[in-house]
Amino acid sequence: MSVIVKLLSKFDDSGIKKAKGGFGGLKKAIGAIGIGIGISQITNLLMESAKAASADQKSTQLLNTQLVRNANATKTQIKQSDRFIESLSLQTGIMDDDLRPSMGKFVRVTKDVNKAQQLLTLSLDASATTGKPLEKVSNAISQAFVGNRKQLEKLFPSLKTSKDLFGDLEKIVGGAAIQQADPFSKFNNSMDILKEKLGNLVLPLIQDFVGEITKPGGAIEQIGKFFEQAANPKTDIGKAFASLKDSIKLTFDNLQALFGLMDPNGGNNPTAGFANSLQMISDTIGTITDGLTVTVATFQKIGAGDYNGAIALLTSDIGLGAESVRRGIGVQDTLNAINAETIARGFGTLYADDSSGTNNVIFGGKPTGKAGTGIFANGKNNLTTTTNNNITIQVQSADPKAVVDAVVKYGKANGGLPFAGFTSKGR
Amino acid sequence: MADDIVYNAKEIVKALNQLEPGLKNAMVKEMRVVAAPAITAIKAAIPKVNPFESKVRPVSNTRGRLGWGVGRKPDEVKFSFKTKASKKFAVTSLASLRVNSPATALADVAGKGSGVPRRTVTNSYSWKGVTRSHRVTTQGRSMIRHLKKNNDNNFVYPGVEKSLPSVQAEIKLILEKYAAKVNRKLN
Repeated sequence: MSVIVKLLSKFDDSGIKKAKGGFGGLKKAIGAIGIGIGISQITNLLMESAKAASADQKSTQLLNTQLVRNANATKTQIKQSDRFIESLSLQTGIMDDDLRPSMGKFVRVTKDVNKAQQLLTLSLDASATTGKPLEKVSNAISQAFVGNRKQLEKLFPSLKTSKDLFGDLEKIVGGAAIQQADPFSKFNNSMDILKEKLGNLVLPLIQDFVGEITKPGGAIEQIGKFFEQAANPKTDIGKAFASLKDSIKLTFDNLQALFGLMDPNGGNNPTAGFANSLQMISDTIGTITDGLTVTVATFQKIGAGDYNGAIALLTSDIGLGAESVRRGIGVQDTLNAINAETIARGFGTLYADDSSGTNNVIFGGKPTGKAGTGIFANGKNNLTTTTNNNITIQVQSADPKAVVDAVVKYGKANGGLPFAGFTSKGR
Repeated sequence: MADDIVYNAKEIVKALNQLEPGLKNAMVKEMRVVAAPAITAIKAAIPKVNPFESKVRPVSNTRGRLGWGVGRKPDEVKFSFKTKASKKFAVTSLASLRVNSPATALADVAGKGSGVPRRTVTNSYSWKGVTRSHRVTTQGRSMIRHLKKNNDNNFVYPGVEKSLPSVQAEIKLILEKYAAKVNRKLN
């Protein structure tokens, strides 16, 4: 415990990065033993492990071949060499894949497994002491073994006068690699070895699987044949695919025809029909919600003893009634308000023939007939029509904005409005 | 009393030694000389006698790890220059003054907290083959009261407050001077 008075601070995140790197290794290690991770991650890890094991097998085989060719190593010696490399890797934190090439180099030079192992240990110590890469140091030592001491003397000038080159080098650097081994590297290395061992378990399974699917008459061949047959219209599968294609086309044609029948202009246009059907669905939903609103409000009014208000709601158009509920005012007041809004927007007086059961909105004069009669006998869902230079618009809930939108839409569709002085006013 | 933050301090110091062995030591020596007024100020602010002692407890805090003057001198203030990176924080002190005596540090920080212990019972720990925990005592409250009454707490920073800005500025100048030497040689 001490009190620290800071005089100058420094920014240096290398320590944090190093720690993060180390813990990244830990995360991988935890992944390696399958703690707290999902199935896909385990699968990925198994594949990674199998790859690592495959690479490791390749590198081991390469070294083993050299041991046999150069040092006439027996099977026992090969196994012992594998164990030696693994233990050295664990002790020093250097990857076994980096150790094997150096070991191979020493075997080629010494023609002796034991001597090669001694030199490998020595070169690791020398590498740790000098900070030079293992490859460079092992080159220098192997050169020195065959009599060319120049490179090694460059690394260790004190060896120039040495009579026992490797003995003196051992005295200088002995044990440095294990002493200076980075704990995180050792840890990561251990985990990599674990991973390889895990991969060794998985690899035979993968090899069996690959062998099974690639053998003559295996899954790959069978699937390939299936695709060939599917592409050939003369085969049964090809015919089935062709009929499926026809069925899809027929379904699409039927849908087009169905939507064409829904075209409000009678032009058999599927796009307009589809839009119309969407509009119908939208209107229906609007009508249902309006109806519910009016019903609930009517019951509320009856409960509150406001019988006149309840009757007004029941006898009015559903849209107008719902609008009056939303506005929180009476039906007649809602009509007056809508009129006031349309006048303010410059659309003139709006007349609502509420007694007809529909909410007819008329610009420029009274209607010549009731809605629901004449050329649009179905009445309810027609947006616009003209009668004696007037436009009759049926809009659910009599929203002024919806009225204006409908009029503008009519203008765009028909190239203008039937009476002058209206087109742009108020928009 | 915010201190300045410098970047690449480690690289600068490394380059200094590569440029001329011993150059880093020369720089630290210069910094130590500059920091002397602050060190003197802190030493002057540290109580000369055991602040934990009172008439009713004449031998208070004279023994053990936190004893006054045990192991380290109560007024030991050292200049520290560290370039080692932390694994927890990106910003750490490069140059600092350290009051290393635990008893002095204890007296200095007394009463700076809320006075409410974070827990009333300790974690379980093994003791003579059994697991046990104990109640956190409230003895520290009377100690804090006593130190506060005699103005024997919170003395390090108030003591160094006046001299600190100029010392900080001079130390930064020294580092910049040596960094410039490195740059000149490199260019």
